Amino acid sequence: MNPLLYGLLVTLFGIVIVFLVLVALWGILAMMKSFFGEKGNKTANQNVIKNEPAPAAVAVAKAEPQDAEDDELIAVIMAAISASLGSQSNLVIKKITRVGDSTPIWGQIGRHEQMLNRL
Amino acid sequence: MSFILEELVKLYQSTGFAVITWQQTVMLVVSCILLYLALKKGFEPLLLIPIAFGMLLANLPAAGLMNGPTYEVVDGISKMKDPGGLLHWLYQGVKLGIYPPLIFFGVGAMTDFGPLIANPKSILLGAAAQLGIFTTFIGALLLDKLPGISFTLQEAGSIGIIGGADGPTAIFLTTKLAPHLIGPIAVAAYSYMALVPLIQPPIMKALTTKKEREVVMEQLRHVSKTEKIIFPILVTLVVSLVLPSAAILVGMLMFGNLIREAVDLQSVMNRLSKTAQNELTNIVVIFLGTAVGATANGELFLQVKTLAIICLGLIAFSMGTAGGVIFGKIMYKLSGGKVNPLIGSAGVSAVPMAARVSQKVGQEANPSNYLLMHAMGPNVAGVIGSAVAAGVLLSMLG
Repeated sequence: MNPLLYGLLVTLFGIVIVFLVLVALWGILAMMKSFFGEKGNKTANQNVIKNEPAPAAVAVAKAEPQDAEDDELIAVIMAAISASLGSQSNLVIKKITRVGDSTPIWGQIGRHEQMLNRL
Repeated sequence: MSFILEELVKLYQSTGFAVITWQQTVMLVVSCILLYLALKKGFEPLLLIPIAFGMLLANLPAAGLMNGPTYEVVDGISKMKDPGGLLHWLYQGVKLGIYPPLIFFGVGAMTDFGPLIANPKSILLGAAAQLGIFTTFIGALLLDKLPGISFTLQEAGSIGIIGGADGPTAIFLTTKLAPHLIGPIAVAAYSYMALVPLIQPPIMKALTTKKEREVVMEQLRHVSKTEKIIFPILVTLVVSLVLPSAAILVGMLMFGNLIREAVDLQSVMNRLSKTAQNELTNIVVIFLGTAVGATANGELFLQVKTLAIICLGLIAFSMGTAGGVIFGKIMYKLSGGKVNPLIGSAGVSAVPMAARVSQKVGQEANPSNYLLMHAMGPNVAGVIGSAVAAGVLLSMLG
């Protein structure tokens, strides 16, 4: 067969197969969601709320303007708050203030170890 | 007096200067330029430095680092006379297709498929961005019309795969289809991956309106641990059953990912997960980079074909980006404006650079928009997509 013609055939087959395989994966993911999705969602959120020390959340909510415009830090804080609240509604952060850490050094080390164990 | 002169001549003849060819000289300069780009400009230093130094080592005259072993027959028995150069042996990992799947194993262990599981329709963007592979494949075949350049079907397939923006996949497929082109293809693939932040934004902006770029997407749902564990197993089964030739790449990617996700169930798996993510991948990157660089032999590399491959590689990247963005626009229309088409460009693999580019361009249009996690979905889907595309090319052209 003419190489160009065969090339066109390979292209056609290639695009169709790539789409078919990924559409099949899409279907499987959608099915997986209905089997394992929601149940896991609720328990996970409850765990997060239980583990969250309450004063930390309050401290973040209280506010004073912060001078540095650190987009990444804001994104992380926003993600942490929305994960711990577990709400679907849109969250608006108006101010973020750094509060002094009153945890003793041994407490900090303990917390650090806890986090490392979960990595 | 003449004795001293003779000795000096002998000394000169034993140095590299006496036997260096012009091609080797050019390649040494090229490797120094690549080293400069990697060290000073920060172009993919993790990969470009091993590649560039491998290139430098392999083009040293008379050092023979890339030479294979030589044998001699003594009393009817074949004995090894010279074991050959180190780079020759390191290259066997490339030639036999060992390193690329190991890199995929590490990539799997580093990748969180959560954004893809949370938003499964983004998987289609990972398929659309593979368009670049196939258009470039046809483009390479069409070059036949030009005098002096002609690519076989196998060579064209290997060039097209550059558009998958996935180094290990490109190397894997090229070693199977057109091993003599491994040098230029690997260099083109990795150079363009480093240039993703320069290549993609103009295409993305040209194909979308400001209104489309400003779309803020809904927050992704939470993905349960069970889903994350089942995902790699299911993907391996489905892809490998449909396309056995893609089994090795997708299988290793998913194996790495399973080890990553298994840590939550069995904390002892942390040891394997950490090794896969760090030490193993780092070691393989060093070997792979050096060995690939070493294939850029002056005589083979400095040809018109190499220039054509580098041009076609750029077309492949651009077409892949365009394919993803155009499909993103279709999804924008179909979803009633809920999908930001910019995440489509992340469908070319290049994890996570392509997703970062989507985030950056999105934020230029709307500073309060965070597209990164949404773009990670098509981004990791692109890795699966390009492995599948490589599987198709391998089974039809191999």
